[in-house]
Amino acid sequence: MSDITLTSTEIGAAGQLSLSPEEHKREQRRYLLRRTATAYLFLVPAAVFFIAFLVIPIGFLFFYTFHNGGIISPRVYVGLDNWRNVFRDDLVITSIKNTLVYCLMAIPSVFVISMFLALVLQQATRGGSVFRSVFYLPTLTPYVVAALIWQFVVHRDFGILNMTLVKLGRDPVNWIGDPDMALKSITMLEVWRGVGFWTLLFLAALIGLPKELYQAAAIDGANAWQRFRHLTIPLLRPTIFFAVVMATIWNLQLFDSVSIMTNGGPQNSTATVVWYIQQTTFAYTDKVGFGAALSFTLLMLILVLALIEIRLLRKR
Amino acid sequence: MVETHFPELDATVPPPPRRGILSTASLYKLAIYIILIVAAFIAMVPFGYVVSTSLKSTMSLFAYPPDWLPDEPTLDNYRNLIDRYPFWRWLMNSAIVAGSVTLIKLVVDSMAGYAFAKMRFPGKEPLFLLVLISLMVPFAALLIPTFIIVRELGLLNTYWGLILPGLASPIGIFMMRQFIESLPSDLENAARLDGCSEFQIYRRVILPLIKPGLVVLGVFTFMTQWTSYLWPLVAATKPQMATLTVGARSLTSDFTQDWGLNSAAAVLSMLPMILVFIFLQRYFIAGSIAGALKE
Amino acid sequence: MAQVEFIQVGKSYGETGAVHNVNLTVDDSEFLVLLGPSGCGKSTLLKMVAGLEDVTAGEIRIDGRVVNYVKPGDRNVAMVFQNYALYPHMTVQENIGFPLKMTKVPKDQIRERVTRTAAILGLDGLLDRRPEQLSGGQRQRVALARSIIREPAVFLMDEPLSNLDAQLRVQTREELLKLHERLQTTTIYVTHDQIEAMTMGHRIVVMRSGVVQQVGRPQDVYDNPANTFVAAFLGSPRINLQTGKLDGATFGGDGFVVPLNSKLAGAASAVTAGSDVALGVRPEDIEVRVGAVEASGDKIALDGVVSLVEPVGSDLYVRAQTGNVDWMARTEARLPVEPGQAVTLVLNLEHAHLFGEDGRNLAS
Repeated sequence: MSDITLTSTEIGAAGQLSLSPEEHKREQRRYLLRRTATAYLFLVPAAVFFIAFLVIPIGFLFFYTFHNGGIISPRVYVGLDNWRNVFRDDLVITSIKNTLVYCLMAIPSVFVISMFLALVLQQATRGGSVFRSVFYLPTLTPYVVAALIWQFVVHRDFGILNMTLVKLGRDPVNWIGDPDMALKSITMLEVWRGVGFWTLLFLAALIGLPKELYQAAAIDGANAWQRFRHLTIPLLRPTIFFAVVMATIWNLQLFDSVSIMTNGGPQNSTATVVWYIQQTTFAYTDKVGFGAALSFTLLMLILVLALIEIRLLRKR
Repeated sequence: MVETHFPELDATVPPPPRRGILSTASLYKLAIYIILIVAAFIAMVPFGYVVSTSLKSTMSLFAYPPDWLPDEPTLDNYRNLIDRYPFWRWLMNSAIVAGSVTLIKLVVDSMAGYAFAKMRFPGKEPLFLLVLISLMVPFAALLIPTFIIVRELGLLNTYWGLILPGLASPIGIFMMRQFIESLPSDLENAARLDGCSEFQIYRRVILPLIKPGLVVLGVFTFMTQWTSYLWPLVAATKPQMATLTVGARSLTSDFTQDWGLNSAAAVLSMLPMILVFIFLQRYFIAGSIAGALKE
Repeated sequence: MAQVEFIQVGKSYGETGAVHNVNLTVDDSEFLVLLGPSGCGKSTLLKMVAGLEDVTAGEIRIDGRVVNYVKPGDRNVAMVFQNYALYPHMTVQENIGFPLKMTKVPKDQIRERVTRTAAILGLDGLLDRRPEQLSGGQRQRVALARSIIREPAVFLMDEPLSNLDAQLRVQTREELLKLHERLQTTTIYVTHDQIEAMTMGHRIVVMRSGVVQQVGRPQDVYDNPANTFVAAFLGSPRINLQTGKLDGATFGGDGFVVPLNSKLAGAASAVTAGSDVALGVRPEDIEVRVGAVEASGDKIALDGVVSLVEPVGSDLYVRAQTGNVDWMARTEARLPVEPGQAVTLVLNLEHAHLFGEDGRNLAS
């Protein structure tokens, strides 16, 4: 049967509009205005807090980048000095390096462990909810408490790790006193604290996957690794995408554990960007402008890295 | 309440066929549980050690090598903590701050999330982009300006001073939008035709249906606030306004560290959080599934 | 009870199909069916009446009132959704009573009206259940109950039967018609199912790509399709459409010739000789005979070879080749033919059509 061009026919005589075009325009504008107003009414409560405690502070911060003093001494306009200093300061370079090294150690470890645990947890017929709660326990721990707990782990004399090492006949390690070990110890703490959160997130995503696909793949003779590689990973892409971007954003802001455990030391080996920002703004009191400029530098760094990740992960 | 039972949670992959006395299936099971128990052990041990330390007497604390378990468990450290420090006050402060932030955020963020998910209005995309970008702002960077604003408002050392900055975080808006967007639009359309105003749709249709999402956001917010340290440290300088985290930290002076006391404080400050989580755990998972994070 | 008028209605953009210049009047108490393939704009048009989609051109009037800028809840219309859109967190009783609750009807009155409405639809024993505890058919009836309880001026139904199994669909179709007979409420019903459209509609509106193709009583539309699209969309198996050229009083197809009867010859006079046209013959207007047959009157005989035989129980679909084209015929069930067999196709031109180059029916 051959193709035939299908065309329309005009049906029905056009009736008379009862409102003039001007009236239509007016009524329509009023209708849309009311709808927009309703939507904005829903946004207002959140916007108030958002503006007061996020937008305005960011504005302030930007203003401060061009000034010195302001807290103790009077505020002085210094132009781009603070920005210039940020790129000259050795500790800025060190702190950025430390932060990036930390992210490169922490994020992959957390994800691999979490994904593995989520896959294992998915297979557990009984006791799943108990394990889920236990795994989440470290995430629920306040940093102050986590840091305390972690001192019991890494303490030179009576920490769990060294006690175990001694028992095995090995030399104890100076986990936080040694500049080579300190950042790794911080990473261990952060991984310990973070695994529960990501495990639950991955588990939730795994449970939501369509079962039929797995049955079909099993019938097709795919083994467990092939199913993981060619089904689970592609299907979890949205979750992994979200996880990678969020983990980058969060981990680049590493601060609490550093502040409590090592306060940037020893020899600045755990100095992170946010730690340095906090030092310049609060501890050194009058370097607010420098801290502000450094904050914007970090913001840019986060934005750029997040955008690169979004690019890379979206493409594939 | 909406049924949030997910039978899949307990579902399992069919075991491979039996072979020999020790079947592959039971070996597989065994491996699964060994892995889980080891992981649980690693998650729990440091915490267990803290509990154990909190029950040790001052004397046995200095034993070397230290004992894993106290010889004679004692509640002295807990008694000390409660008698010598305003512990209950700290607990109350934390509860008031974390509770208020959580309640206000649930309302405010779900409203904004509804607008972003389901309403049509000019400026929607740029505003939401702003929310996404603001996710990347490190709070520590805003400490000084926030401090100045709160001081100018005369809210230092008040509950509002502790609560308000916590309400700015945009992650809740993002989460709520994801949840609400996954609801079928026909539900709100039906409500619209049934004569609901937008607020009635939000109140009577949307809110009851995103309960799992509210639990996720609630637990998440409460957790963040309960464990928050930096802001209460600078905003509450008077001892009677200190929250648990700040109070617990103040137990460590520059010269001495009473491990037993610190441990008791750690145990007590975590207990409420753990109870909340265990109670809401099932909804929490269900909620995470329902909101299955989409692009 | 109300009349719905569409005047130059259009929608230039939208999530679903756009709609162009619709002019239509739905009479009071009428059951009007919007029919078309998915994406043809029929659902968009329905949602525009409900107020769930904006009208970007023209106006929609309900009982003379322009409703373009009236909130959905104030239009006095009720809608049954394809997936029923029952509130999962409410019982059947609360679902049905919800519209009344929202319009501030007193509680005791709500209870009484819910009971009455539930009785009409046979939901008496289910009032305390939740939607998830109901079967598909029951959910459908709850959705119906929720829409009729307000006694709206207009019912809007968006493929309400598409999620039911075949048997239940037929049964519910009858119930819907009975309900309409009883309530006499103006109804606009959207479907892509031609059987539903033919059996239920007082009139049907066939749409394609946002444009109304034809409006009329079901049988009229079937018998006199305005264009090839309508002809092909209605009827199963599809109408046979053969392209060819007009040559005086004959239609010359690809390898076959059909002499026109007087009706088709009249239609053909609308175009010049030698122009490209299409001949449309429905499968039920083709008889398959074994052995030679004399042409007479409206009946034309063509020689063919059977290529496919499809028994469907009540009928037999036979595909046969003539010249270089295939014909589909719908014949009596137990006709003894098999593939490869030479047969004679008897075309009954009484209900056949000629379509012009642009697809329009030349007779109209």
